[in-house]
Amino acid sequence: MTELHDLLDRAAGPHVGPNTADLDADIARGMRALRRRRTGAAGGILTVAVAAAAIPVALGGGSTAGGGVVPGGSGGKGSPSSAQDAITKAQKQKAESAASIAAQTATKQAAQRVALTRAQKHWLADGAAVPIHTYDGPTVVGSYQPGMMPEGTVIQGGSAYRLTIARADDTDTNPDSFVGKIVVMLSGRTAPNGAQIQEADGFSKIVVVPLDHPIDGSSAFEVQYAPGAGWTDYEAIKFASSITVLPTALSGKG
Amino acid sequence: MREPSRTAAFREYAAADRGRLLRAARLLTAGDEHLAEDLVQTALTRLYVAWPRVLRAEGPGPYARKILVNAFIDETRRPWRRRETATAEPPEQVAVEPVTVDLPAGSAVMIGLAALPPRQRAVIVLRFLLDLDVQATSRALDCSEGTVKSQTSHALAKLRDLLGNQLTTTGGIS
Repeated sequence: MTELHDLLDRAAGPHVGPNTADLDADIARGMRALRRRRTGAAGGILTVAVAAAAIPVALGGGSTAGGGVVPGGSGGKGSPSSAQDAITKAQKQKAESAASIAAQTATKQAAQRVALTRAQKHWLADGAAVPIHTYDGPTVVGSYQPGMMPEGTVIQGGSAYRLTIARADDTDTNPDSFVGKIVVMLSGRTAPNGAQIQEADGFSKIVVVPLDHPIDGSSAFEVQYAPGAGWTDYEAIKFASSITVLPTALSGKG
Repeated sequence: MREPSRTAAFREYAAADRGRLLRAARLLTAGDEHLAEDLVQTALTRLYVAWPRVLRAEGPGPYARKILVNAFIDETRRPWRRRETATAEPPEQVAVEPVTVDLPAGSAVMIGLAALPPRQRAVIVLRFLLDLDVQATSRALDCSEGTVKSQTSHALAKLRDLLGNQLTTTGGIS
């Protein structure tokens, strides 16, 4: 007869302390998460400030910082046409100011995003193109089988929903964490004229590749990757087109 | 809190407790080593971010355990995980059978744990591996002590059915 604690204790495996690499990686992840949280909070404040500056313009007049003149109001100085000119000028200044703030915000946010990406040291280290080689390893778990693989990468995980490929030295080993990685999945997009690059946002590009036959309601699959991989469009399409999608693939929902 | 002092204190805690968290995660995931490591990383990452607040409140150990368990329960709710789990070999179609063969105790325990719903599994790991009392377990799971007791009772009954005479529990279990 064995006590439950002893059973669990044996099943849990040996008590091994972490090595320095594990602790360094834990701290690096914590620091990245802390930076993201701080940066996200700052971005939110900037967004609110821009919205507040834009409101008077959107309302088409009303009060202005210069103690503005209400259109058609009585008691205003000068003729109605000069009052209207003043309003137009004030509105124009307000619009220019809001546009300037918006541009500055976009620049700051873009810089923050680039800074974040560089801090993660994914793909952007030297900007050189990552070579692609024929994949002759074992069959990959999941529904996406690569025919080629970028140099220096490993398959982090495969399933019916996605295939995740990351740099071999990526400390983020969660296959459902996609930042700075290559991810393959069924797509809601279409590519009726063949594989094509579609830029998703400032961080990632997507190669959309049509399927021979629809799978789980999708007529194409897509490969998301970070622009810093340095690929030409041809190389990106070449890699994406080497992937075989099995009929067992499933679309992610929600 | 200045970064160097946070990092140094965090490192000291993680060096002491990471192994314990990983062992608990192995049981929570019923032997899924990769998921166990993911859960530990999640717990430690969130702990690092919340470090100053955690020091003022319950302390890093209880906080890390709470995050570990919550991350595990969240993981079990993912639709893709319910439908498929990446394994080293393709899954085979195997009929579900009661554990009747003479398996090593560790294997039988993992099978038994895998048969438990997530919260019952968590209760077993917290109470019988980490030896938390009912109150500490209820805080980790953010539920009442009564719920902990009933979950314990149900989980033990199920484990006894599955593990048979390999399992006894001694001491006052309330």
